[in-house]
Amino acid sequence: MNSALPSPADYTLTAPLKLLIVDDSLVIRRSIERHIEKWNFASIQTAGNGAIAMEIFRKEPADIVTMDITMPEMDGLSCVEAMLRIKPNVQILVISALADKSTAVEAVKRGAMGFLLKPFDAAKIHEALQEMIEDVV
Amino acid sequence: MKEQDLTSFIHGTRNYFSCVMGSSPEIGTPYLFDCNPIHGDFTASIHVRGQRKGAVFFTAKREMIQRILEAFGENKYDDQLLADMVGEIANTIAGNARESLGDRAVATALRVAADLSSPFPH
Repeated sequence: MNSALPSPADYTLTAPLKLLIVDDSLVIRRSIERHIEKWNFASIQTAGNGAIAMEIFRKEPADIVTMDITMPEMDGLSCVEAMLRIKPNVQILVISALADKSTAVEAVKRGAMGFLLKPFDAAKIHEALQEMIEDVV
Repeated sequence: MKEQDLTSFIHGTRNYFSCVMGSSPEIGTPYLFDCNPIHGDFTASIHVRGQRKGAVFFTAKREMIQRILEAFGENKYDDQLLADMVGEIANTIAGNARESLGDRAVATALRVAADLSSPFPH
């Protein structure tokens, strides 16, 4: 873990950032929400597939997005591209179980700023999201 | 499938439980099991395609999935959430297996074993 970053318990956002969590698993969406619920995001929205995520993002573009890849309706990598067309400076963290290197490379090629492999623990999701936030503020 | 292919799934299962539950499961010797669906069990299947076809099933008792959900911070355990958890575990193990199997491992059908009146689709 990056020692330069504050510990999760002490972490508070210095800017009113909006977060969108996209994953087809309700358990994972709620788990990520719980991990950052004390960080004072201006808003946290969730979506269970890419199509719903795009609907939400068009109405209210988030500053930070966590994005699953394998989802019904619209996959995460297509979502990454579509979101970047709407808001080029959005920070997207791809969170996926797909462990082949080509998936991570493809995600970054499409514009994702980070890649977190499932399963993840609290420390890993905190670290990955804190790095996204540091790049926004 | 060959034994080597199964190693990917064993490694993935170990890794999943180590990360989520903080302890690695013991891996026992496989044995034939009476396939009558057991009420309350949840099962998800991972299909392997390509030259060597096969399937890996992840089955767990309700109590075990509840423990995993607790580790995720859940305190309600309806069937939808239990099925979601089992599907996510299978997806994760299948996704991790792609490191060695490539895109041949695909997590697909998810069924609640109590409803297994028909066989899994092939």
